[in-house]
Amino acid sequence: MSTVKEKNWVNYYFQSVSGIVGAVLILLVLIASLASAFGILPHDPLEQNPVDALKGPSGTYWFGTDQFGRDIFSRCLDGVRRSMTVSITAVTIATLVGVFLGVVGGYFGKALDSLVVRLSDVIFAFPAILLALAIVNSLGNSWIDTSLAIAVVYTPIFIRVARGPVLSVKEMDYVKAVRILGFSTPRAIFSHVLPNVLPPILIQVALSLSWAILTESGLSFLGLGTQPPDASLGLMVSEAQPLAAFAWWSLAFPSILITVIVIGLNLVGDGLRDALDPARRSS
Amino acid sequence: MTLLISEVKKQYKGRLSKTPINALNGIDFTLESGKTLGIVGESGCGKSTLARMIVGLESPTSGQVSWNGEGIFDKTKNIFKKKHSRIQLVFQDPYSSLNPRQRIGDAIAEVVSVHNLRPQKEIEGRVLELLGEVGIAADMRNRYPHQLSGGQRQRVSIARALASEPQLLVLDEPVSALDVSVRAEVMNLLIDLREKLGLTYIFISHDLSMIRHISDEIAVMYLGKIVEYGTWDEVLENPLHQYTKALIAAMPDHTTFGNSREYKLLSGEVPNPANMPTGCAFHMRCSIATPSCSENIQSLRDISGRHSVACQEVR
Ligand SMILES: Nc1ncnc2c1ncn2[C@@H]1O[C@H](COP(=O)(O)OP(=O)(O)OP(=O)(O)O)[C@@H](O)[C@H]1O
Ligand SMILES: [Mg+2]
Repeated sequence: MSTVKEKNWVNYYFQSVSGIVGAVLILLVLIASLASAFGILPHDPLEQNPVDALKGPSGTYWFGTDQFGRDIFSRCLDGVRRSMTVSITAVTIATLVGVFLGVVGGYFGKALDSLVVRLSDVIFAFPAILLALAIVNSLGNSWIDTSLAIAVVYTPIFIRVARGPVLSVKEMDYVKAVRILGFSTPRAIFSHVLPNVLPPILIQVALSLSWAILTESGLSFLGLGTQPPDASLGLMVSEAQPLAAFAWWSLAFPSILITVIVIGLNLVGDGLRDALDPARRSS
Repeated sequence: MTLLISEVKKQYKGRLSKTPINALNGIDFTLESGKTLGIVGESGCGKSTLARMIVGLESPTSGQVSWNGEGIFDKTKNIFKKKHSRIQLVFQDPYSSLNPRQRIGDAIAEVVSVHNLRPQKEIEGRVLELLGEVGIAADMRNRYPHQLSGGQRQRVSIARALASEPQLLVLDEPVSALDVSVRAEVMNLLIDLREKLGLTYIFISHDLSMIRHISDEIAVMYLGKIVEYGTWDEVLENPLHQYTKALIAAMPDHTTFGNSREYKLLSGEVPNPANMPTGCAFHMRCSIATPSCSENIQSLRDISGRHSVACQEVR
């Protein structure tokens, strides 16, 4: 009996098909981003070759070229990198700020909690993309501005996801025990409350990353995110619109990539939800 | 060392209605160190409220709670905050009293290290010693709570409370949630620990038969008040309050006590603590109540030595 082999949630995660497929897709996306970050691309994504303009997919140009003769494959990888950078930055900020506010509000209650809830209600009242638009408009177009805008929009989701479970966990006897034992409040929060509200937060991180990819694409599509000549998936879709009728590849590949990333992240979210919820675990 | 509870009242704001809930309506007693006080009463009579107050989780609306002459609340501010507490609580529900994401040994080690009760390199030894004291094998040290039975979890909760080297242990129905088969084991463990460590206990239960094995003194609570107080043999052999008699009549082995064959079981419902009866709170369910019982508020009166009762009909 001394060696009870216990399965942790990682074991359960890799038992689910959606978890594995999602993890593989996201791993590929991350490799692509890294390749682009280190400049390991078949062509320079910005280099124009007018002679080769609007060529279909071939051995040289795997995804074809655009109207300036730029390699769409290289531009796609560069776009994936930009989208992922913005999305990861935005969601990291939103998670840290949102979880902090949600946990503190939920744990301490009273006026502080009302303030936190009020704040998230105000942000929630605006449609996400409109709010992001307004913020980017006032901040600027750099990737950090875009990230900040998306972070603001997604913070209230994390406030809610963290605060709800904190309200029930703080009533548990083991949190009361910690107070009777005379532990400090930060210790109560970080060692005893936070670890027990983490599962829904992790799932939310995966889902929010996918929404943030869509929001970033949407902003770029509308001309407010990444600016030409830089590549971003949303911007590429926007630029390909007039060309799509005679150069399908210019629209198809960036659109497919957006879809793959979003589906991949959603599958990861599904896998996490199954792995972290004991009731859903298939033995 | 003495636990002193004087004129303690607790009102909760009603969740829905505006009328306050009177959870405690004037509790008075003193408990000398080394003694065990059993508190018994029906569900909702305020036992857990009193327990939470003694460990400083909840402040009294009015009245005083002090241990060792030191008030636990200083103007309703808990003095135990950030201070190593000499009073610990063992909870009823072993499934919610341990952090599900913390190994049981780590939960105990945390107490020892946060309060610097042992040098760093002796902490692990102390953890195993405490686990041994409550009958948990050393090879279970790295288990998570969900890998333990209810009885084992309750032993770990006791070890965690002991880790802070308390003087007074408040046990709030510590065996009620356990299988009947393990109740006796945990009760015996508590009795052994008391002898070995010289602890003072407050043992709470809704079941008199549970309490009589462990208590020196018994307080019978009804609707936020103590209605009878005395040494356990006095209270069981010679109960004075009609409510105590009814509790004895409900014990499976009641025939072994005094003239318990004549005691009547309870009838009627417990009144709502948000809408307290006038006079003696028990008068509507009492078989010897007279008209004036609904007018005169009762408080504990000494009858003999250490036996007191809150009933005007007892002489
Ligand atoms: N936080 C609270 N807010 C409002 N009312 C409360 C609160 N805690 C307890 N009460 C009320 O106070 C009264 C006493 O509750 P308490 O939990 O102390 O009873 P108890 O004797 O421990 O009962 P049980 O045997 O069921 O554990 C009950 O009427 C209960 O509804
Ligand atoms: Mg209780």
